[in-house]
Amino acid sequence: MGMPVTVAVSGGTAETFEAVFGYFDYVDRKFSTFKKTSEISKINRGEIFPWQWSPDMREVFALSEETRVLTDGYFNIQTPKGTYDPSGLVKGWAIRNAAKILEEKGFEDFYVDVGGDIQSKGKNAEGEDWSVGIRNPFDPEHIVKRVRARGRGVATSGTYERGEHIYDPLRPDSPLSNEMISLTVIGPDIYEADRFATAAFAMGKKGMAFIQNLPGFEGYAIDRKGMATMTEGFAEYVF
Amino acid sequence: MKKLFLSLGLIASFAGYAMFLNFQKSRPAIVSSNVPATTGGTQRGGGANRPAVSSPAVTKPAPAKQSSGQSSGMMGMGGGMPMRGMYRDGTYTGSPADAYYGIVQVKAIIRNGKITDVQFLSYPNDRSTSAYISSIATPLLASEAIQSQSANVDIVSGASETSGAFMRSLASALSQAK
Repeated sequence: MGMPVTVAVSGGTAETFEAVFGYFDYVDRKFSTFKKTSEISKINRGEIFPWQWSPDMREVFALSEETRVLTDGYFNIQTPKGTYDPSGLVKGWAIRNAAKILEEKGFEDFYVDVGGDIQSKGKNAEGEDWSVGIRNPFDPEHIVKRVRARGRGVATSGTYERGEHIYDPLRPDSPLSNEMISLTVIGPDIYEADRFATAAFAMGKKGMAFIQNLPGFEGYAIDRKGMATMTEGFAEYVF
Repeated sequence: MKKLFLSLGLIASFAGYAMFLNFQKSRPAIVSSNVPATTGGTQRGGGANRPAVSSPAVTKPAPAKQSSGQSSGMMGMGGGMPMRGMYRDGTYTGSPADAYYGIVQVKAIIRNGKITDVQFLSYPNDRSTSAYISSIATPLLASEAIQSQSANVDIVSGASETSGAFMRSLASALSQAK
């Protein structure tokens, strides 16, 4: 169980990768609900007060709250049990931060991929914009679409890999029943794409309408029958 | 059943809200707002501020020092370390803070000296999305049957774990084509 982190950097050195992986280690130590010693676990046990939270924790909580309001509660880090699990926001947030580390080091061509959520910049070894494939939910070794990321964040929410791991925060007792099994969102950066992909997926049928009406975001949804729908501007990324 | 919280201790106010779209923006001063005593702001929670303990006060918002020149900001308590048990059980509500999408107030509930709940109280505003989302009519979107193909791409995006440890999978340095 875990999220594979893949990093490719044009001109990167061992020190470069150590910096990026080291950052994800830091994020893990702080935000993992599976680690008893993590800051989030201490918060969930009631052991530390909000004014004792680290700046990164406060930031994640604040961003989570903003996202909750923006998505009318379809994004919510509070679990039905009452504990807090910000991992749905931390993932994209951490990838974006890792990409910033690389940018600040002066790298212009790279990507960071955590479990299929991607932030890329610049071009690949062939001198072309990084290409991203949308995995076929029915056949993980294949893809169903190819897009040029063009520096934008690409995030996919779905149910096919681990079962129904996304629940509807507004109806925690009923399983998420929608026909959409995969939703890929292209947004200004991976943090934005990820949080809205998570929320839109939980919205079910209204999810794609939400993305369609969100300026700067495009989406590609796949349903149980293998039919895909896409927002108006999605085709511009396709090649 | 007797209410467990017979008296509210002091208000340990906490308003934490930020609208960060730009990570480079330096953090605004962290301020706190207590009814009995207002502590000063501190950067990044590392200061020695601690909320003062005093006689019970109700949950009315206290005047808060705000850092100037910020249209949005993160506010919260300084990084002081209160002693366990110093705060009486009760509900502590921070003063409302404008957080771009509306006024947000944070409430912390303390029982047996431990924080057991943090609630965010959002005030409705004209930028509320709730009516908006529920009324979204499904637009007519283009659709197609998916076409499976070989992964002839640099990177693959697919649904996967959202939680669990980050595992180092692959790190590669590329050289650019000339």
